[in-house]
Amino acid sequence: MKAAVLILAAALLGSPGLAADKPAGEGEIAYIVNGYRYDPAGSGGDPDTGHSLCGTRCNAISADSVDYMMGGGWEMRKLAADREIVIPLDNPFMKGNCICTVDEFLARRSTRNQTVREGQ
Amino acid sequence: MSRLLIWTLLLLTLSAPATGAVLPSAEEIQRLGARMYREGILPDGQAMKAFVSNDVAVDGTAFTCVSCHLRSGLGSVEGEVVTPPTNGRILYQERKPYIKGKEFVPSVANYAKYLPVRPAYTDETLATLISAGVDPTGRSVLSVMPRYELEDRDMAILIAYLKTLSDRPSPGVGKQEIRFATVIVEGSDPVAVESMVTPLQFSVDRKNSLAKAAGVNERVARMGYNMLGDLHGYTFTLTRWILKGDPATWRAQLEEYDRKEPAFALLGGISPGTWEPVHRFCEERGIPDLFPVVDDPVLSDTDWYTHYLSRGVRQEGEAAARYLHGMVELIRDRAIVQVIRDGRRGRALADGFRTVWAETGHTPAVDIVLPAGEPLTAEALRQAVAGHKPAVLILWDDAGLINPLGELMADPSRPGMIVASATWLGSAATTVPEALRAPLFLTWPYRLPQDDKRYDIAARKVLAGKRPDKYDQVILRQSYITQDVLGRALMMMRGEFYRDFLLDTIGMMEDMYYPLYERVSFGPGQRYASKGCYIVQLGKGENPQFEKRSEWVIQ
Ligand code: HEC
Repeated sequence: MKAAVLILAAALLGSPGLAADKPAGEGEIAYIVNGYRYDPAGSGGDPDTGHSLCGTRCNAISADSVDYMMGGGWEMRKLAADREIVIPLDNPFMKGNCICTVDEFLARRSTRNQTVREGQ
Repeated sequence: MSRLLIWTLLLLTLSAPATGAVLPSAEEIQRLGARMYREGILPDGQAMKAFVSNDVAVDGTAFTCVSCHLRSGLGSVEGEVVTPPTNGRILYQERKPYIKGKEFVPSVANYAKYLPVRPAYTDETLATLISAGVDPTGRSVLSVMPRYELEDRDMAILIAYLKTLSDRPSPGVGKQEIRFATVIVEGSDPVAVESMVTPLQFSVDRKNSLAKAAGVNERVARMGYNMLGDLHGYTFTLTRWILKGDPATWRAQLEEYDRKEPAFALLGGISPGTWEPVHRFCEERGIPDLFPVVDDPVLSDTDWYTHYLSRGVRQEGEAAARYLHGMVELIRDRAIVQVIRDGRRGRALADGFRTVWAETGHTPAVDIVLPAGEPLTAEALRQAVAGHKPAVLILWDDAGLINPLGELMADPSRPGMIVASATWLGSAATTVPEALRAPLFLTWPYRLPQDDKRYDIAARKVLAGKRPDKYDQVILRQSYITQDVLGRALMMMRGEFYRDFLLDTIGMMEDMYYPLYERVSFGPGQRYASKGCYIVQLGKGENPQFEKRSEWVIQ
């Protein structure tokens, strides 16, 4: 019965493969950014402009958790909450650092839950 | 006596049956009726008079039928909001909780679940509903729907139009078969063509094997019916409509294909150049065209039938402008120079930048056009820079820009920031020398490759075991999206295979996470599904990865 449902869903949707093709366990660190601030770090950069640019810069390192889930069979484990990480602003016209407040996750291919993804 | 009852009585006497009016030709009914239904404009060009909560006059062009009942007239159930069908076929049929054989036809079964029983409408009772908001049982709908004051003739035209909505099966839909076609413009790269067609064909084949299984296995058939309604037994076909020669001649070729083997919808499609004639053809014939693979889509706020995956390469230019807008304080009065390789691609990129840059209120960039085919030299770049001393140099060109740019960066008057298109640089983007990586910012309209790997399994499923390296990975993923959106939409449509309803249904779909794009969104009338583009830089080392310097959608 269940198998038939999967076949039906897959027939229309071309659903992702059900078998994990990567060994479980290897993973990657992902951040979800909750806040940010600018640190001129002695460069004399304008704080308001810096703050605004750090918004973009910190958001850029933020992962989208759904993105991990939807690719099929990934899970995210929280390693730390509200950790501060420092990244260079990387702007050719202004120096300084961005301090991004992040929740830190270990994202990895899940060993459980090898069924079709949600909505199928 | 209740207010409602008074109203009903009043209206039964007031609203003269609309049947006495002399109707214009069928074509005029389509034209005038559609204008009332979609734009809220009367045949005489005036706005329709609409009233909410019974007597508050509102602009009929803002409260159009289409905004609630959708283009197909088949309505929608979205959470708490239930808007019933308003097409003749359903209105002139009794609504009751259970009609045998229609359990899975949403326009019947869904609404019976949410709305009270009512008898079939007649022209008279329908006119009363529209003009007074009272249905044939005497129930008022004025809390959710405006009422409209219409002259008899206008009412008769509107009602005649409602009778034509989603009335006959769309072309390409047979008793047990739905035909699709994909348009291939001659001269497209064969690898690109196969990458576009393979996922579509996979999906069609899978559907057909299900239909076949249902034909021989009672249990599969029953389950198929429960899940898909009437769709389960249908087979699909996909034919290739190949267009040859001058785009001016495509129209006639399309008409010929359409006459010989009409398709319910066009899927994908590919052209190395323009798509405009196909877009126009679909618009005029009312044929849905889902996600053609083109760099330079037709941009329109009102066209309805072609869905594009994005606004094309132009979206990269737009993103560059938004990104620079975010740091405009730092550039201040210094110039921006935009070097544009002449041709479709360069022009679209430059135009995207120019448009958004103007919208955000800035002095235009200085445009320098490079003739097509003439290699970019360091000298040309030096001249461009020497004259204007730009803070930012935008280079819309292919990988040929890397070496001259390297030479320019040795120059003391070099600009602080360079912007280029990563998709145009192609694989050369990742071999940019280290010295260039700090000032170089690239537009990248997809998920970063390292992140998109997570979607490999999904995307490769549509290859049915074929080797992925023989395909264009971007197009493969684009076509993956096409077949998935189609599958979902058809499933939601159950038995109601009307072209406009296909597009209405896609318009109701939630944002999706797919391979390739961070987010794909639909929404009523939205025609460019991916709205994002990253600004990236290259990381350090031998095999550098892109690193994001912006969000997906830059505000
Ligand atoms: C603001 C949204 C909205 C607009 C605009 C709107 N309607 Fe409706 N309409 C509804 C809703 C909701 C209902 C269901 C009300 C109920 O039955 O309680 C409805 C009911 C109806 C019905 C009755 C259906 C039935 O089965 O009894 C008809 C017919 C109808 N609308 C036609 C129209 C036409 C024609 C227009 C434009 C001239 C229009 N509507 C504009 C929301 C709207």
